[in-house]
Amino acid sequence: MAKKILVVDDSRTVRQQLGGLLTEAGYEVVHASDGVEGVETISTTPDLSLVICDVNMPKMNGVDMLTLVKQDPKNAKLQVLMLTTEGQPALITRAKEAGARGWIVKPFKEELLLATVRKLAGAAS
Amino acid sequence: MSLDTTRPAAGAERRASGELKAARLPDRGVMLDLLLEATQDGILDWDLVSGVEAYNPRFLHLFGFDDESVEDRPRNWRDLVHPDDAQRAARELHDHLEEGWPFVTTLRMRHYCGGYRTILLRGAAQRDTRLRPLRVVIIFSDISERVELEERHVALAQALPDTLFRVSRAGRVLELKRGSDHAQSPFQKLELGLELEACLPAAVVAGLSELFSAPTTDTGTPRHLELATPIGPATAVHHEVCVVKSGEDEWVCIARDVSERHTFAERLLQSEKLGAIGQLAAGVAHEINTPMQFIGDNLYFAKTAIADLISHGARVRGLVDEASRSELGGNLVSSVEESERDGDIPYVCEELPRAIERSLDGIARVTTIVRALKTFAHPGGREMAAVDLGRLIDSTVAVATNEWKLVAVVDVAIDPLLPAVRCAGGEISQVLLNLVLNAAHAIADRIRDNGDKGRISIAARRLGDDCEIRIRDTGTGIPEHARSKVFEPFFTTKEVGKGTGQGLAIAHSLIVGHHRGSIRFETELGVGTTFILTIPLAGATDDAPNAAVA
Repeated sequence: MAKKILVVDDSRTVRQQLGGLLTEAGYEVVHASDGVEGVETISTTPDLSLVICDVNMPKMNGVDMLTLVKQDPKNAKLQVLMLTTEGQPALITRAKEAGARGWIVKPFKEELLLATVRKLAGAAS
Repeated sequence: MSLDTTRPAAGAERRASGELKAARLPDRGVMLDLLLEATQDGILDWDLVSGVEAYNPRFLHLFGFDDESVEDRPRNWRDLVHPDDAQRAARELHDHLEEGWPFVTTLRMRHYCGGYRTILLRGAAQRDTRLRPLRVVIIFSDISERVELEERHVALAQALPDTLFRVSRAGRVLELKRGSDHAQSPFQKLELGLELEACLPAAVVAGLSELFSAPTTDTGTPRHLELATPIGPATAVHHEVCVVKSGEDEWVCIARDVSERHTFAERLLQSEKLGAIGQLAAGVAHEINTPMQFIGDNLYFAKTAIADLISHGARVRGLVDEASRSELGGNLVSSVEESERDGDIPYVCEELPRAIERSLDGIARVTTIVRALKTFAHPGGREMAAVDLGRLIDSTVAVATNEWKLVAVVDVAIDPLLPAVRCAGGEISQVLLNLVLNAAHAIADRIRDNGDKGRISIAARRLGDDCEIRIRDTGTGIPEHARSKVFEPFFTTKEVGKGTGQGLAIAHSLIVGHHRGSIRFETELGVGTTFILTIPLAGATDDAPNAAVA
């Protein structure tokens, strides 16, 4: 069975691009368009191998979402990768401390993203 | 190699529409040359496979090592990192190279001229398909000036006693510097990241929102708001709030606690009222004195006249007795006796002189008080003159009679050898009055309503070249925590509205400041307090140091 990856991003373009890339690589992709939706999806989808999460989003930003999700001990082992144009050291540190496993700055190299996804989520199937 | 598989985010291709779009730049070789020429930053190209580090000339310039003759040259950038930052630098670099975290960090780095510069480091690594880093480029930007500017701004904000905060359109607190306000000030409840509604009383939020929504297009124009927030039944903290639009969607607010100014203004009003009453009292004293004089004179006249009438009556009585023995006077006598009985004359003859005597006593007392009031109201003000302190003390005690008569007895002991003291009589009497009032209040607090009376003892004597006045009471004593603050203005242990906290502060400034004397106290809880003043007999001399200390 294909590994499942959640993409949380308010930009439809990014969701489509990532979705195409990850599906092509053999992963199953689910989407959420802001932090609040992301939290809901995580709680209703127990078998996520990885969450790829934007930072600047309406309703709830990615770092706040990460912090909230990680407060639930169920999600202690959930792998979260931040994917954002944001590069503020303070935000990066917060994400690192909250339990994110990586931070990739947009625009990204597909090779690098896929390698990182493979490292965190394991091979597609 | 997968190096050139970079592609920008979808939809970010260069278009001919004239819109600003991120796009892949042509002729990267030329661009790189120009970039290296234009940059003010230091750049390191680090081949992680061979370990070779290549720096641009600007890097050496950044740290003052561009002159090749300079000795003690660093081997690499890590040699320049402040020892306290070295561990963090290594960790961040490791996280970047091994874990893929962005490399953005601020480090202190040593400059050739001594001291450290604040450097922002940003790096990007080239990796192979298994994410292993092959080569990393690090950019070093000197941000010392920006950091110093920020530090100066922060220091400036910290130095202000006011509360400073920045608020977004949504009312969220984006930045906060607490003020040294009253502990119950509403602004002490502000919290970073919370919305104003969650921290401030509704009235304050409403006032601020009104300023925020006021139509203004320009930043930098301050708007003001005055706020009074009740914190007790009769007390409030007062604030002056200044709001300045600091950006498209945000405002900077400065809240200044002006409660003290309000209290001061109220007290000033109160003391002006008291001053007016004092002036009035002097006039009233004069007005009372004149009728008292002639009431007294008339009573004296009545006294002697009545004495004459009484002795005249006695003689008439003798004649009546004599007449009663003759047949002729019988009827006459009985009618006189009847008249005497009707008029209760023997009783009248006994009581009338006593009534007059008591009235004269009363007059004498009124006269003493009125005279004391006059002395007190016009004792010579700030002018230094020879003053009979005994008389001054007597009149002060008399003026304050109403304050102590129910709670204490007062004894005054003036050393007969005490000469006239050169001082400002008005000021000394004000100080004495304050001390006598305090003594009376301290005793009242101690005895409450148990019917006992305390004692206020005032003694004045010569002590070398000084005159020493001691005012001792058998009151509550001054509690430990209050002792060091007794002479501070606005410090009072009395109930709200009872004391202004000015009495002893003024006493201190008059005795120490104007008279070059001293004022101190000895106190024991439950036993009482003695205030001890000394004043130079010869008055304050001009060559005395200005900053005289008690």
